[in-house]
Amino acid sequence: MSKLLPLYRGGVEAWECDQMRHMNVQFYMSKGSDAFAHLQNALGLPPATIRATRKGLRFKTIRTQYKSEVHVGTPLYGLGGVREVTGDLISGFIRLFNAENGNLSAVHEFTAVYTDLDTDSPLPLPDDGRAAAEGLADPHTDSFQLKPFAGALMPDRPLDHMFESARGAVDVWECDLFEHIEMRHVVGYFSDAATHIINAVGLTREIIRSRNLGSAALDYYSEFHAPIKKSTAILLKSGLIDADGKIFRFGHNLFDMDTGKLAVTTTVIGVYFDMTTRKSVILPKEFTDYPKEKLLKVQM
Amino acid sequence: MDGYMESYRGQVLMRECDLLGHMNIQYYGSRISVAMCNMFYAIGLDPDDLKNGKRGLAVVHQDSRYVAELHAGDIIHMESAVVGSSEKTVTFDHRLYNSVDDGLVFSSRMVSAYMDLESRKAIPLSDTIRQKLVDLITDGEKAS
Repeated sequence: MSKLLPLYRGGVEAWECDQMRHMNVQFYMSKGSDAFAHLQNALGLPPATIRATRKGLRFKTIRTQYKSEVHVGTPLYGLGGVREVTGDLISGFIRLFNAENGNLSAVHEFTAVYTDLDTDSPLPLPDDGRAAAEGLADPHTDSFQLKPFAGALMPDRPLDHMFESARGAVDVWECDLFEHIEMRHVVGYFSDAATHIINAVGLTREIIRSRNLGSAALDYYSEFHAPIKKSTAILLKSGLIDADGKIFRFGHNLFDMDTGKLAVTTTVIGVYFDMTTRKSVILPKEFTDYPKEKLLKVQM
Repeated sequence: MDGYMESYRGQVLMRECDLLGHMNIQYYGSRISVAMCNMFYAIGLDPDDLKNGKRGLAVVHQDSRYVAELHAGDIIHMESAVVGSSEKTVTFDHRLYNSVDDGLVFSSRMVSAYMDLESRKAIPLSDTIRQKLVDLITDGEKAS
C-alpha cells in the first residue's frame, strides 16, 4: 500500500478569494482540516469512533508554507502521510496541488497528539492507532521536503509593542462538534490582523491600492498551547518582528480572555507583490522605516 | 466505476448540520459545486475563459436521491462522470460516498448548459469540449 494517501479533492470557490484576488490563507487551512479527517481514518480513527469515544488527534503545531497562489475555479487535490511517530507524537504532512498543472500550492507540516476532546488532556496513542501510524510512517525523502523555518519563532509569552489586531468571541458556527474553534477560523483571525499591521506601520488600504500592491503569506508556524472553545472571548495581539528587503515577519499571540491563557502563538513570513505582474517587490518604505526599537526581534 | 473520476474529497462540518442532526440538503449541493471545479477542467472548459468570466456551465435540470444521512465529522468523497450531451448541454452524474465504507449517500444527475457569460445565453459546446466528451462519456445507467 502506498504511504502517500489521497486526502483531499476540491477547488477554489469565488467566496474563498480575498482582495488580493487569490485564495485566502484560511481556506488552505479548511482544506487541510478536511484532509486531516481522512488521515485520521487511515490511522484507525474513523469519524464514528471519534464521536463515540470523544477522543481524536489534535494539532500541536502546524507549519504551512504557501508555494504558489491559486485563483477562483482552480481544481485542487491533496496528498499526505505520516513522517514519524515519536512517543505519542505523530508528525505528518498534507500537500495541496493545483490540479490544472500539478504545481504544489501549499504544504502543511504538523505534529498531533491523541487527545480527550472534552477535557483537552493529551492521551497515550491507542495500540491500534500507533500500529497504523507506524505502518504508514515514512520520511518521504523522495518528494518535497521543507527547509527549516527561516529565523526565530515567536516565544510563547507576551512581548512589548504588540498591539491589538482582533477582538471577538468564538461563534457557534465556527466550532466543530466538540465545541472547539475550527482551525480555519484561527487562521482567519491572523489573516484579518494583516490589515491592522498595515495600519500600524502607517499604511492604509487606499495607499496600498494606489501603489498596486498586494501582500501574501509565505510561511506560517503555529503552536497550540490551549484549546479555544465555543463562546470564548478572544484577543489577538500582533507585532512586527522584522522587515528587510522583500520580507516582513510578524508575530501573533491569540489569548483566551476567559482564562487569560495564551492559546496560540504564530510566526508569519510574507511579502508584498505587484498586483499586475504577481511578482514580489521591495517592501514599502513604511515597513523599513518602522521604529527599530519596536521590532519584536529585539526581545526574541 | 468505469468513466467516473474522483471530483471531491472532504468532510462534514458541524455548522452544516441542521436541527435533525444531519447534514442539511443545501450542503450536498455545495459538494457538487466544488466537484464541478474538477469536472470543468476534465471536460476541457478553458480555465482562462472560466476565471475571466467568459464561459461557464449552469445547471438547468437536476434529479437527486438522498440515500443515507451524514453527520458532523463524517468523511466523504464524490465521483462524477459525463453521461450525456447535446448541442449546448453536458449531463453529469455525481455520486457521493461515505469514505469509511464507500457506501453511497447521495446521487445527482445534472444537465448543465454551456453559457456565454456576457450575453447570459446558452451557446453550442466548443470543439475542445466536444472532443473531450467523446473519450469521457459513459453509460451512467449501466454504472448504477
